[in-house]
Amino acid sequence: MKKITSNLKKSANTCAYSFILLAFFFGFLVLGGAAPAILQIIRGESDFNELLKNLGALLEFLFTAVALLMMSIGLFGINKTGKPFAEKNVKSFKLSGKLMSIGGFIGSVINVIATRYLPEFEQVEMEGMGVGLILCGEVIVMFVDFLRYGSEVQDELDSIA
Amino acid sequence: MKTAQTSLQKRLHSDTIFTYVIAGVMGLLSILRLIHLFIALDNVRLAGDAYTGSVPGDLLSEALLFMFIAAAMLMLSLVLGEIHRTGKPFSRKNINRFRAMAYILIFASIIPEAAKGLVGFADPTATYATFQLINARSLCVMFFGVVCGLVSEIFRYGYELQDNMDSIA
Repeated sequence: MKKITSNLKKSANTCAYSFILLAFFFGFLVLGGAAPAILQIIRGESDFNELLKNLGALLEFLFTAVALLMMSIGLFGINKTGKPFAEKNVKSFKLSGKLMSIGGFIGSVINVIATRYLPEFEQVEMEGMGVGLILCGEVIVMFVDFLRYGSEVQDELDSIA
Repeated sequence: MKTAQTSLQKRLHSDTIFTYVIAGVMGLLSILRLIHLFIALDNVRLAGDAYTGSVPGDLLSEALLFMFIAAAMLMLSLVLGEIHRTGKPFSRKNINRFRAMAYILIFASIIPEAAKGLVGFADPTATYATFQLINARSLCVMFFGVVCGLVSEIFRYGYELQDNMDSIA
């Protein structure tokens, strides 16, 4: 069991740092998305569709960055305690999954609205990243169910011990 | 405990079907890409001219990537199917499947790009060839592979817990 816990801690640590790096990357993308939107507002440009598109991308990146941060917090929790089924870790994973799904959904909807207002109606597009984010979020929430099962096993074992 | 098992079983039914469908679609896309590749190569042989349209290296790389993703999705659907059947997520089989999935995804991040590069070098009509082993897509796939490795470790921990509890009960 000790070997398993130490392996788990190592993997969680590696993944946590990778997630933090990714979160920073998405943070930069948020800045990159925000800059043109802010410039547009300052200049008073009236291209509402372009502004909406930028806003959609910005929200997607923002929600993803926060979700990745939550995920890395959960992974650091695993690294600290060595217990993957602790309530705190499970909660942060669940929040991360929900944030990803919500970000993907809002981003997709805004993007669809933005492209619908274009003169060419055939340009209506469902943004790939938004759909991908929704799916990722759903997968994370599904894994949270496994973690919940594990936490029940751990609780029962603790109560027996 | 029983409630957790039944809720898992109920929830995973549609997920299992969904992942099987994705695995099938990816497999089909892979076959289509391979057919496209052979048609492109045949056209070149008949016309004796430079490649037009999609470059064979790209087609081969995409075919391999879809094949690896189909294999990974098949593993995932087997995992979900077993959990749906037994109601217990932590089993030796599932740990091995997640580990296999991690390896498949890590290979998927390297092999398609390498194959694309090699085909580029072997192409007699190409005016130049590039060899790029890592790009944003392959990094993304590799990242998912690492996450699958972590999930397999979590499952291993859960399996040990469940084993302890079964031996006590």
